[in-house]
Amino acid sequence: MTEQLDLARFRALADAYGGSLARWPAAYRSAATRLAATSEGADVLAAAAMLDDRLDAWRDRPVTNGLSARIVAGAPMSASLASRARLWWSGIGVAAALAGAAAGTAAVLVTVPADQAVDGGTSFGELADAGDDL
Amino acid sequence: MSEQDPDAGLVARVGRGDAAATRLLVAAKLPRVLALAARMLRDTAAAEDVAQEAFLRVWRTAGAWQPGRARFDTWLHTVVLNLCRDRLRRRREVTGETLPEPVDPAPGAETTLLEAERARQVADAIAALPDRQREAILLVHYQDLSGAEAAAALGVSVEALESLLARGRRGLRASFALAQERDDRD
Repeated sequence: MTEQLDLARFRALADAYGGSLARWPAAYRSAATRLAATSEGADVLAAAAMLDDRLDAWRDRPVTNGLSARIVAGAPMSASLASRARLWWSGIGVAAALAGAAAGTAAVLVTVPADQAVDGGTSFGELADAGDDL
Repeated sequence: MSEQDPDAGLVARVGRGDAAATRLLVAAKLPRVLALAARMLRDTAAAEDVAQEAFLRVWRTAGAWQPGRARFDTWLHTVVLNLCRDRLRRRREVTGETLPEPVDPAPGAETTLLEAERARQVADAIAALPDRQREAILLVHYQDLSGAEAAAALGVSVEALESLLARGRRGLRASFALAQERDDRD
């Protein structure tokens, strides 16, 4: 869907989304591109882009490898991978006591069942609930 | 909007315990999660805690995720916002502060003093905005969420989001103009 755009709405969109049309609602981009080619439209975008540039001075922090590793390590392993781990242990003839320990380890690694509730957190598809304290 | 969720396949694999998908999801989303939390909290350690907690919720929930409802990225932003709001609320209760503590907002050792000062001015100006305006600016300008996605994450209409954005940007312009006047006088 492509929306019509007059200069007043063009200004309002620039006031909200800034000088980069990539941030504007897709429905307006085609008409906005045409208006941006006019001198009035170009002035509006240039003024908005000045603020964008100023805001861009606050850059993202780099992610440390340690943080990524900790987060990945906290993810559950699939049941199939855990089963393979059990087979590997039994295949090399580990003693029964050790096999039991491996099974225990595997049990810990099994993926959390899908029907386990999130403990008071936001669930998929429940943005309204997630926004209760908005 | 969710039928075209670009993360749907990856999240489904994560839900099945696919280790490669898990690494991919962290690589794709962690920078965004950390960026939002760091700007909300202005505290690196607290932002990393929030990122870890947000991903714990992803791991717990991915298996139950149903395509066709909320987009994953929007849901994740909502989770991070709520975790940050909780921390800010607790911080206010303990310290009485109404604004996030000013902690160095500039990343990287290569950042010059001038760049660091510019970043701090922006961070201070954004921190001084009303909460909802600040969140709208963070989601749209820094997180590059679309208007519809940001509105969903904030639980408001697109029209209300545009009003928050416009008021926030006006406030920032006024703040920067005031800072410029002060600099010109000095």
